[in-house]
Amino acid sequence: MKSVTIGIAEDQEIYRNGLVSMLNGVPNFKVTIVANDGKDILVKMKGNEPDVVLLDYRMGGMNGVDTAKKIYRRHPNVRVLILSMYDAHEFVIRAIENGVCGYITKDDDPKEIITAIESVMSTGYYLNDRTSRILITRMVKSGQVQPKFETEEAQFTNIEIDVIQLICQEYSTFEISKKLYKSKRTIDGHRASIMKKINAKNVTGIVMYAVKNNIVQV
Amino acid sequence: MAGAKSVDYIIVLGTAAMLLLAMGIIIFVIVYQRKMFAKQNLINQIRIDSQQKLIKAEIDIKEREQKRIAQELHDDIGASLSSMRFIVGKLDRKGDGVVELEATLSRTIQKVRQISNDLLPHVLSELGIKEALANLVVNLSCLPLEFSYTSDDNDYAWIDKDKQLALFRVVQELINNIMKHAEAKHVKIDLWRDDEKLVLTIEDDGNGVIPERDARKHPLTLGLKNIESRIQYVGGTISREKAPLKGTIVTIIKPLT
Repeated sequence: MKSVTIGIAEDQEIYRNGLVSMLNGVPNFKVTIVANDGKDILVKMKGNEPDVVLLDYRMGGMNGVDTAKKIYRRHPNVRVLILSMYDAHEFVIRAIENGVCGYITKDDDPKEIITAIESVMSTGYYLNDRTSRILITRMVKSGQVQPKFETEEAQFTNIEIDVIQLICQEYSTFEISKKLYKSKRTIDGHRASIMKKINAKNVTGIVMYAVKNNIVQV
Repeated sequence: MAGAKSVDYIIVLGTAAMLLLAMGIIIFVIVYQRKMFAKQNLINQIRIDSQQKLIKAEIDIKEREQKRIAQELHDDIGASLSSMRFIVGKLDRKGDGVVELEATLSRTIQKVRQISNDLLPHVLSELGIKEALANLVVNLSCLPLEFSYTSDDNDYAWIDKDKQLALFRVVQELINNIMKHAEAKHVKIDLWRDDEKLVLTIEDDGNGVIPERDARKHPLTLGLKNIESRIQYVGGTISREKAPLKGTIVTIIKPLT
């Protein structure tokens, strides 16, 4: 199997070193470019094009998204992922709107970076639950998507409303159960009942319904 | 006869001389007053200028210091903590306390990010006021107050970042005031461009108490003084009125030329 070559632009040395050593520890990954900032990686990419590039959002000089735009212009085949401390929705949207293949935050499990690289290599993009929710919410809100639900307006119990709101705030079933002082099984039950009421097949459906019917403020 | 004529002549001459003198004095006084007035104006202008400079310096120093701490937290502490996740990742997950360590680390990173963001809103410094207000509204959605926000398609990111930050702080302070005094349920924030002006309105459906107009009930607080000085710093105007139905509407205008 051909190894995946990776370029990194990150201005925090301590984090960069950890990242490089983790990625080089993955059997078919190879970090071929280590850069300090956007300008640096653009220079180092001349004649040495990696498969995937990881960019920090905030760097001295050019930020990650502006660097990504320049990379795409010069190297259209390179896949860019943003890896940032920032977790606000606005950053994810700005990055995806500018053609970035995925957005990961630094407080996520570092193993997700590996998953993301594998995903962009095989599918061209990487969207985790969080980024999908952000993008769906935006599309529903701006009217680009009009979710249809084949049910009458559903009636929820108070606890179900709480569960919906927590799901939309990106809490896992386990976290919700802790927050509401219920067992995980009970929360699973509520989830199933919510999905049945609105005829949704997954969490995305719940989020879309909640946004459309103003059960959550986004 | 000749003597009487010469007396008349002297009287006329004397009167003329007196009149001339009087006129001279009057002209002198007027000119002098004008000069003094101009001087006074100049002094006032200098006073206002230096006051504004002082306010600007105060805001500058405070924001600069906050920015420094925010960036250090974000870049330095944040990066160090994040890099520790790589180390923890290498540990045996079945080992004692590894899962807790991971969870604590994750929470600490989030907290650092939160503090750094309070000191200098990341969205504002990277993207601009339009996105920062959208983010503010999302972050406040946990409050019992309901928010709505609209903005037009214009770009405001080119405006001086310090001025965008000042406008953002004003909105934060106004929301604070609404929470403390207005007994409102809903707050509506709108940002748009009207010709060569940026217009920002903050409307609530509360009790319509306008702080300055009820000075006895609400003495001019530090918050309000901060608002005034920030608006001065931005070079804009702020006005508060009772909203048509219920509550208060605050309009901030900043010329864009």
